[in-house]
Amino acid sequence: MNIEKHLIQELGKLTVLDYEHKEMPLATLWENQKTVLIFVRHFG
Amino acid sequence: MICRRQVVDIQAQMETFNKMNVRIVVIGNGLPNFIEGFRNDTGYTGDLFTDPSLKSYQLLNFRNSVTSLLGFKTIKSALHALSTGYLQKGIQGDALQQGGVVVIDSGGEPVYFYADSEAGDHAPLNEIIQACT
Repeated sequence: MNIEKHLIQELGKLTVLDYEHKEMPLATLWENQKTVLIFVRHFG
Repeated sequence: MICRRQVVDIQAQMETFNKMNVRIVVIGNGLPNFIEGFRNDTGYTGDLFTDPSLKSYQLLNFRNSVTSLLGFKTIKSALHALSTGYLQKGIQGDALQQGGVVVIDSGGEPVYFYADSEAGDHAPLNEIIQACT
C-alpha cells in the first residue's frame, strides 16, 4: 500500500463521464460500499 | 486486447464480488462513445466510466510519458524517429497512459493500490479479491 487517504479525498472531487457524457463525481462511487476502481489503459 | 482481457477476467469473478457486496467500477480514458463498444466486446456488466481528461490517472500517478492524447505531432515525430533510426527510443513502454487498481472502503480509506508498470502488467486478481474480503 503506497497511497494515502488524502489522495483518495482529492480523487473523490474529480469527475468521470458515463456513456451519455454525464458527469459523475468519483466520491459517489464508493460512498455506500467497498469499491474496486479499475483504471484501464484505453478502450481498445 | 490486453485491457479487454483484464476486464473479462474481472467479469468472470463478478458473482464473487457481488457476494462480498463490493462494487466494481471500470474507468477508461477514451471518448464516452467508446463505452458501449467496450461493454459489448468484454461482456462486462458493472459500472463503466471514462476520464478523457486523464486527471484521475495523473492524480494517482499512473505512468504516462505524454500528457496529451496521441495526436498528429506525436505520430509525425514517431515517423521521424523511425526514419532516423530512433524508433526504440520513440516507443518505449511509458509512451502510453498506463492504468492500475484502487480498492476503497466505504469510509474513503484506500485498502489496496496497484499501478501497472507496463502494457500487459495488471494487479493480480487474487490480490484484488483478497483486498475485498
